[in-house]
Amino acid sequence: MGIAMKKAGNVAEKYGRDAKLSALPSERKLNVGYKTKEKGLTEALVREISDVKGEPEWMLKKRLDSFAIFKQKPMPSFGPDLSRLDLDALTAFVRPKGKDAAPTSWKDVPPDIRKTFDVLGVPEAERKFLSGASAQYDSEVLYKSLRKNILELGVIFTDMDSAVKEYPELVKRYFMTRCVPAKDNKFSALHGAFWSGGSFVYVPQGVKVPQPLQIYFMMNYPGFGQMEHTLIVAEQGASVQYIEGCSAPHYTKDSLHSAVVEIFAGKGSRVRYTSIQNWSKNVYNLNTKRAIVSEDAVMEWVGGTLGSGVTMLYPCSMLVGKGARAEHLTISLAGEGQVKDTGAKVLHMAPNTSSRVVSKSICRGGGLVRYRGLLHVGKGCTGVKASVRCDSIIADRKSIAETVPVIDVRSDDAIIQHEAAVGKISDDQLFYLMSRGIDENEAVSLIVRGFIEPIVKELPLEYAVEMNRLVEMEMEGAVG
Amino acid sequence: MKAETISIAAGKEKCMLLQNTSSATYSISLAEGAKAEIAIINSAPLDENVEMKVDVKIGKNAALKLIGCTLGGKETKNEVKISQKSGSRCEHFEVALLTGAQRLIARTEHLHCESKSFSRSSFRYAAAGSAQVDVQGNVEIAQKAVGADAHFVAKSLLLSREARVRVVPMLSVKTGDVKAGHGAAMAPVSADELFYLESRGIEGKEGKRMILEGFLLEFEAKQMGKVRKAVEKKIGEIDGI
Repeated sequence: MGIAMKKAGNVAEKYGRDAKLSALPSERKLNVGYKTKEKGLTEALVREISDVKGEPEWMLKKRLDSFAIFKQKPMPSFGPDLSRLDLDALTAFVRPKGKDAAPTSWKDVPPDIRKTFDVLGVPEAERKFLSGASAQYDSEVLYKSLRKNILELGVIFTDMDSAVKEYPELVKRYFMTRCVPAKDNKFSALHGAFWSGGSFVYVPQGVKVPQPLQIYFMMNYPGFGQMEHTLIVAEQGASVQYIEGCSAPHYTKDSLHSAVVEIFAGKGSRVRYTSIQNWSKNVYNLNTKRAIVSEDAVMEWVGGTLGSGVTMLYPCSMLVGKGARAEHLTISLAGEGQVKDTGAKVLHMAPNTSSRVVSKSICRGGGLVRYRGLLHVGKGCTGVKASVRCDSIIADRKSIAETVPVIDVRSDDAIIQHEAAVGKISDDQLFYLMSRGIDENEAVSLIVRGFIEPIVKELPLEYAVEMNRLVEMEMEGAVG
Repeated sequence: MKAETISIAAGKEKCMLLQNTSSATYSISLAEGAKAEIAIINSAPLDENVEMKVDVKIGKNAALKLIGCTLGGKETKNEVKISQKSGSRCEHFEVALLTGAQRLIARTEHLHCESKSFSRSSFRYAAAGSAQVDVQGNVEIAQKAVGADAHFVAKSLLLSREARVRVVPMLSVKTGDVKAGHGAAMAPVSADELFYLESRGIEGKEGKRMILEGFLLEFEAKQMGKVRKAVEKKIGEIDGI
């Protein structure tokens, strides 16, 4: 998948070039098998999607309830300008050609689509070091697999659509109930009504999945709204790592990615959720990601927000059991025309909980990065320790870096620290390196790699190498 | 509401102590090269709501040390706006010690308008009883403020289970060639520090008083004596200290 991140640029370039030559690619070229007939976001469209998927009645009811909430909720009153996002112009459901059931072998995936994922390196990554892999193309998961030895442990790793039918009791218990209910915000309600695809991971008590599970999302249809749902349940003492990556070609029509990720980390469990986002710049990336962390459990969020035009993303850890712990490590990169409004929310709702947030952002070419965070310590939550560090590099005079951290403490023995530093790449550091024979571009690259090192070192090696390369590509010519 | 305009002429120096027992508005301006130290102490009665507005303009190469001390008032709303021109310096200290059911809502906007402006802001809050502190500080560095150097720290002590502190230290940087940072910290009175003092014969309440005073007044000023006296008097009113 590390290779995937770099090659995503090639894929984007290919489609982008096509888009320039001939407006938008034809539906035949886009591999469209089925597209919903209803225009705009309507109740009829909700019913059509549910019908096409063959869902049980309870899921249709959930969708309709969410749609009712969506119509009532206002747009967010904070954050970037979303006035150009026309929700009614989006295509909410596109099923690729040849999709009947997600095969478990790459050779059974339609050739054109398989080629896309080959270029991105997904099958290669799966062979080398994953416990399981899944691939979503527009609205549907086209491929999924899980190593036999992991399957035998009772681990479930399947697409969300299949999980609704095959594990209804499990899904009903967790799907948009207490973690991310539909009423949370306008986009979670939108998601609840129109979600499609995504993955369901269930790890039974005491089971430790040795290697990561991965899903890759590809948005191919122009003006599309991809709304996949990820649900991860780790029972008591379980451990799992989950990685997701995403990319999309560049079109003139805006697209929306409105995902919901719900994670339930049971007592004493450990969950690491890694997400590397490299959407094209015409994508609005507006997600809700949240984890409920039980007693003595550990929740780790590792993220790279490199692409998209506008991102609003605030992964949230609710530490509800004593001794629970959360770590949030994120990198944000904003270039020309990009706005990254990202951060972390940690709610300490039990005694002896701890958290660490490290956010590194880089902006250049007129990009805007904004760290928006919440650190809350509830009444009676004794023994809480929390630290937040958000640093930014502004590479030129056109770019903007902002921080809006809210610290709300209601316990008299909490130990909280927060710090932020904003500046340019240090002239002294550059001079030091150049005086030792390192040219300016390489010196910038070294300094930036050192800046993002605390996050990159938490990624699997291939991803780390590619993350460094992607950041370097963005920073070329940044000094001056 | 009392309103006062304070202007310090170019190249002149001034040192002032402003004591208030009710709402007030101050407009402070420093012309080019002026220097000033201004301390504003709020010791209003505990049953009175207070509004304090301070609007500061610091001219080119001027220097200001501004001290705000909130000790009184039932619900106090503090609004401080500071703008700095090129080469100017500002040291801004805010201290608040709240007890009982006192409430402080503080909003600070600090704007670096022009190049090479320098600021250091240090806010210290201590809340006992069921007091509440709600602070929002925004340091903004404009696009023209190349070479600006700004740092803002907010530290809080909660002295009781019912007290509450909410701090939002915001930073907005619109140009590349700057140094800017902020920090915030909260912790209880350190058990290690208390033990250190006890081991030197300073026990219990006296030890806590010393630590609290040291925490709140960790800065230097010509008018330190008067500010310290006001803070000490307030500390003496806290149960358990």
